[in-house]
Amino acid sequence: MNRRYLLLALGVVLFGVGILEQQEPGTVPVPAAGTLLTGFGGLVLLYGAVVYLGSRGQRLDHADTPDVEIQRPTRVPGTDLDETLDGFPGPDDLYSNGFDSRRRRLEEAAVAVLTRRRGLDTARAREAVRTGEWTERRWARAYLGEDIPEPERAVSLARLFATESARERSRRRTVDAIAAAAGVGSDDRAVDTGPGGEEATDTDPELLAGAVEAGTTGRAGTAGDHRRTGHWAGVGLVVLVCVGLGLVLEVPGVLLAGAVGLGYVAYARSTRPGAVDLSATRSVSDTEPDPGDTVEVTVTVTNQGGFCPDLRVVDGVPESLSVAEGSPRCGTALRGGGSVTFSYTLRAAAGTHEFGPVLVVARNLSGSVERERCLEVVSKLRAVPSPVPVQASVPLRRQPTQYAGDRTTDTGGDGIEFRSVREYRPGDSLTRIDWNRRARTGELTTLEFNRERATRVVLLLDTRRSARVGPEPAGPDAVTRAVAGAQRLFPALLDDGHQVGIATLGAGEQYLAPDTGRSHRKRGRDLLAAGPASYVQTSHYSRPWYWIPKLRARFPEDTQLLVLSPLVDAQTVRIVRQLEAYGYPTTVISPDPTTTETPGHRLMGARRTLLVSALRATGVPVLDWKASTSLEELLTREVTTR
Amino acid sequence: MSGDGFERIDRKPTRLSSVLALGAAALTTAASAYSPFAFVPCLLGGLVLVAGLAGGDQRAVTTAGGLLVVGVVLGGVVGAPVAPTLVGVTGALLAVDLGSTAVAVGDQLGRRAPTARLELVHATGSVLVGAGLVAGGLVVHETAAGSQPVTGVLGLVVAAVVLFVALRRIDPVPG
Repeated sequence: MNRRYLLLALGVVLFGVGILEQQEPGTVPVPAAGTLLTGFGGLVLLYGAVVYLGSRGQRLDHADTPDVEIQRPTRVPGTDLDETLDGFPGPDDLYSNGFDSRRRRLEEAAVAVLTRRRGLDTARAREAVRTGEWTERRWARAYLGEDIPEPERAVSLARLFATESARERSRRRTVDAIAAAAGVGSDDRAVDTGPGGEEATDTDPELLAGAVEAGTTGRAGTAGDHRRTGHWAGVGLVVLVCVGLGLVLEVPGVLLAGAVGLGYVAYARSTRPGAVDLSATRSVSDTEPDPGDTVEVTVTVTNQGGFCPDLRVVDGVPESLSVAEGSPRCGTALRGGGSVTFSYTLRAAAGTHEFGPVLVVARNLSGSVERERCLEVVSKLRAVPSPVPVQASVPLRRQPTQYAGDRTTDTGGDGIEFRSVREYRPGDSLTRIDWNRRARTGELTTLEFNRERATRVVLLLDTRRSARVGPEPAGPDAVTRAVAGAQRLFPALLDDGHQVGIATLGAGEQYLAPDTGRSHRKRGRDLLAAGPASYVQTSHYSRPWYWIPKLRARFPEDTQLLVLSPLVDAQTVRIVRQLEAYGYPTTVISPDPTTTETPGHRLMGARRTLLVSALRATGVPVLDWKASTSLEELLTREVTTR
Repeated sequence: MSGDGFERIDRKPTRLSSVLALGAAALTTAASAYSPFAFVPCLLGGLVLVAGLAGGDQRAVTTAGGLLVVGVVLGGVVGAPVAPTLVGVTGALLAVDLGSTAVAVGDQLGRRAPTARLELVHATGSVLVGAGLVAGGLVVHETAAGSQPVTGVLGLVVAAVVLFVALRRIDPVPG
């Protein structure tokens, strides 16, 4: 601290002496020769080399800003091959065997597909993979089989410039072959020949992996500290090189160029960031819009401190919404007391959306220092959808309760649908006696109808993090689709006379006990209207054995479950099996989150197919809800095929 | 859900600062036009700068600045007058400064956001400092143009280096 100012003072004094000596030669009684100047120039050049070597690794640095314009991208399952293989069911068990090499795990996956889809036993399946008779595709046979030669490689220009190695290409073809063996995405692709098989998605890999920060909420931690940007890095080197060369070669112009650089170093070092004292307000044109409406957001940032020469403002757009028009960013300079206003429009999606803090990056005039700040501004947007009840009967399992209702059961009694005729027993209702037969033969018989009774149903939504996946980054994830589906199923089931409740898989606090009635209908609607964003798991208990007992304790007797889950992992399948085994007749409506874009994604589709069939094998009906299918189509198809 | 609006923002360098940076590079190139030794590196630096700003590559911008400085220094060594050398080196430093600003603002705020005010304030600051430095350098050169006692020059140069070392130790980050 003190040394630095001592140096500064020394420099200024020497400068004065130098000027004096220029004006009045001979003032300073120190003799100096030209060789001294040259020697000093060499020293300066050496120092320049030291400075250069010391700062080689440094890079210019500035704060990153999140992609607030887009909604948080939906993770597309199957983007990471290792993750897909980790959760691939084994041939005999729901869980994989945990081999470490990719080739071994792909082999296991192929065996699992053969046993589960083609009905081979495990030993036969292994044999088939070893000998290569499991697929027509030659690269895949060679990759997984033993002593099977690889096909001839055709040399082509495209291959010469390909980014993937031969091994990666073989692996990708094997992945594709396994998916095809499971019946996923087996369109007629040119697989073994040439670059026809070199398909890759042009979607941004960061978007596919869902690894894009779409809000400012996570930024509060990094804010507050000053940071050197290195904006003027390299100018010091220019100074030393110019001064050194100027002295050694005795060129005054180059020497003075060093002085110019020195001036910029002083500029970069001396301008201070100043005390930044900012406040922000945000106004939203409509805080309760209908889903799909556009909403205008206006942000005002006011400077209550001194002059701020460089402010970079990014508004905290809710992660679940995307900007329709305009930019939620602004760059400006503000003098003390000044303010800046900018606005943009959002497209409202169903649910409750909270804005994050306004992120401000302030720099000093020279740009050498920056500081990140988060200005907390609380705003909320709530778009309540008005869902139309599903116009199809919901395929529940057959199970009677004592309440009258619409559900046809397997027991005889009152009703509309004819079931059988039996002998009259005392106490049978007069209206059910078959009077025609009585008139014809004199026998007294009683007509039996299928009894129609109400059922108690709980809609069980899978809102865990693992369910936040979908077929495209811009599309809805499985949680969003599950909630949207529940919004339509809930009133439809109530209309049918059932008692309906709502719960979430996991230790979430969202629970509504099965009931009927107007106020219950409203409560359910409000609960679901909060939208998927408010369902994000906050509990630490992610392990199912913590929360399954709690969940069971809440369900009343004779409840059946309608689970809405993408069924992407073995754990979910096991949970559903367990619930069924505990005596809750369970039906699964499964929004399909997989896509057939790349081989890796198709392998994920194959994995899910195996899991779904494993669940169906235990007697649980699974309705596979494709993204392109409406809920009505799905339910109607299920009822007609039953 | 809405397919539109799912484009990630365009984080390319902002236009205003890019144009200003290219202007500074052009100034340097023009100031070095008297000698092919100076002109060729400067022209090369200008091209690298164009490429760096088109692709948003900070390292290319820095490299371009380095080439411009090399050009100016070479020009000075082979005998350029003082004024073009000073203007040239200032232009080179400004080109890096404004180019880096374009890259950083583009990356943080994108091209769609209104950023003209910020960029103009920053550019004005840097240009005024540069103009002051060139003027000061010329004044020193004029006054010292006659007799140049070695002691005086040495005093000035040592003063400059000591100042430089002192400045390097000053950290603009408070606290």
